[in-house]
Amino acid sequence: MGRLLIVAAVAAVFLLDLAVGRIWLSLDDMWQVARHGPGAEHWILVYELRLPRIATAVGAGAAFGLAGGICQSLFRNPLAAPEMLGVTAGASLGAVGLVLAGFQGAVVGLGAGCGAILAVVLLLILAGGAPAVTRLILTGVGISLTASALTGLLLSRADDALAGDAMLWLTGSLNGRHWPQARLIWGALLPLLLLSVAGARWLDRLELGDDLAQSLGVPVRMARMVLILLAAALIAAAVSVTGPVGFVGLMAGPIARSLSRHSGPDLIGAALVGALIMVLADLMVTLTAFRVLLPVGIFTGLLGAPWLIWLLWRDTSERRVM
Amino acid sequence: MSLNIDSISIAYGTHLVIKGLSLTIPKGAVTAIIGPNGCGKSTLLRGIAGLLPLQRGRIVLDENPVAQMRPSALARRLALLPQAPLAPEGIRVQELVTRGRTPWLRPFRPPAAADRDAVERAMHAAGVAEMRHRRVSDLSGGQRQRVWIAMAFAQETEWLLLDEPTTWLDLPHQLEVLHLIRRQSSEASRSMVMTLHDISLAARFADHVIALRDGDLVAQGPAHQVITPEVLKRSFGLKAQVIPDPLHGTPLVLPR
Repeated sequence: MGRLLIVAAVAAVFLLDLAVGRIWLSLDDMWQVARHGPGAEHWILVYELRLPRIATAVGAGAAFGLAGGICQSLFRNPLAAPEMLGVTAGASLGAVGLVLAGFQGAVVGLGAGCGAILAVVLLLILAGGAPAVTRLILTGVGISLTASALTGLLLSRADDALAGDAMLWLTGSLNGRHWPQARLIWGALLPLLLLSVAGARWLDRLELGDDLAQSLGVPVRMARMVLILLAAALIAAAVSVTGPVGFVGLMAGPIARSLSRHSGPDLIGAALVGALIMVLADLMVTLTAFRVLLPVGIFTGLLGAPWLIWLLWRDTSERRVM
Repeated sequence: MSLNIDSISIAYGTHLVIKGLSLTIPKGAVTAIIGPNGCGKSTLLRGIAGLLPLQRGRIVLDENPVAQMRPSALARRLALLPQAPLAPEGIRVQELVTRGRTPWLRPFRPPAAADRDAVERAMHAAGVAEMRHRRVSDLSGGQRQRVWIAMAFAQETEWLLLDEPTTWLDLPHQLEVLHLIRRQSSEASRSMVMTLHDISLAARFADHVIALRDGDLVAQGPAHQVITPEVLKRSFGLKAQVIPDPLHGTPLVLPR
């Protein structure tokens, strides 16, 4: 029920986002585009500019949400963020390094991807495979802090214009995202989503503690390793197309959990909520774009944080009534 | 047909906790492992369940070495209920008990009719069927422990290891849990192995008692043979008198 509602909301905001911009389109305009294809009046606007950007938003939002849902369950902490794996900071370091070296466009995304892979390899080496949860978190946070410090160092020594570009990338943005980015994130998201759903049973059992999970026949170390790699791959793909958009991974999981009737991680729900936050944020970027296009990362925080606080407040006040 | 432990050693890091221990645990009975804190009771259970690697020796379950069994295959024959399992946030009783079916589930399929039947049987056996829709976090300590035991029952293994199933429970609830384990052992002919702190309760509820000290065997056998002043002295360093329990005839420990 809750899930259907989110799907409907994503679809509605998706259409609205498609219609809004410097030129506002009616439903009929969009219908014409769908019917006549490249011959339609607004074809280029819809198909070449808006659709790839919004498709990227939905895909990256879903990837962030899904990665957040996996991390929260894996770390047995509803407020765990995928940033704690250190992958985001690794990706940022890679991307900022390339931006400061004067690169632009897809190469920067590639740098983010390489940084993310390096960070996760480092995490698995330093944490010794997939051991106890606390060691994993501490190692991840250590890597994250180190990579952020190095990023800060690079920024402080860089030339102002390039540092500005790098800062913009670090806020996370959907501006100027086209089909290559949309294809990349969806190409990564779909198989990773299927694998995550397949891994959800492991995730449920790992929440019972390592001993009990093992006693139920879950190969604990391998399961945790696979799930970490899944989350890391999702983050790497999303960060490389949008930059490290904050809060989506943190908020999607708890929001999905409180909307779902079942206990335990709701991975599909987290992915859907992540997608919804991201398109909503993109819509707000478009609506406020009178003078400048603000980066989407600003709105994900502005949107999601009050929502999360409201849900937590509602949950605690309900408990008190019971 | 039994659980054979053949000169095993288990270490945490460099600290050797179990030192060349050999034991035979009889099938179809209730076995209690007693010994002072830190003597390796829990370590032994975790070693049997394959949670800790063996430094030496081997554990053989009905002629199959445990170390060579796949986790899912082992989980269909032997279950361990750890001392402090974690209940996921917001989980309800029936859902938690259903988790016990994990090793029997087919990949990507919801629980089958056989699984649902097993969950029903387990919930009724443990007396938690009426609270199936309640949140585990809202239950009392005694109720919660019965839910965990129901989960372990639902796994339907021949062997069930329980690590301190009575800790943190008051005496009436300790008795309730032990009666439950005893009844399940005779009705479903399962072999139960549990660690216990209370020696008199171990004597009353177990067919077979194993006394440990410093990771080594002190004595094993029927309660009246094991629970004697000499064994208590050697295992616990406890000076005690042992008299027959006036109600049940089992050994009753009177510490001096």
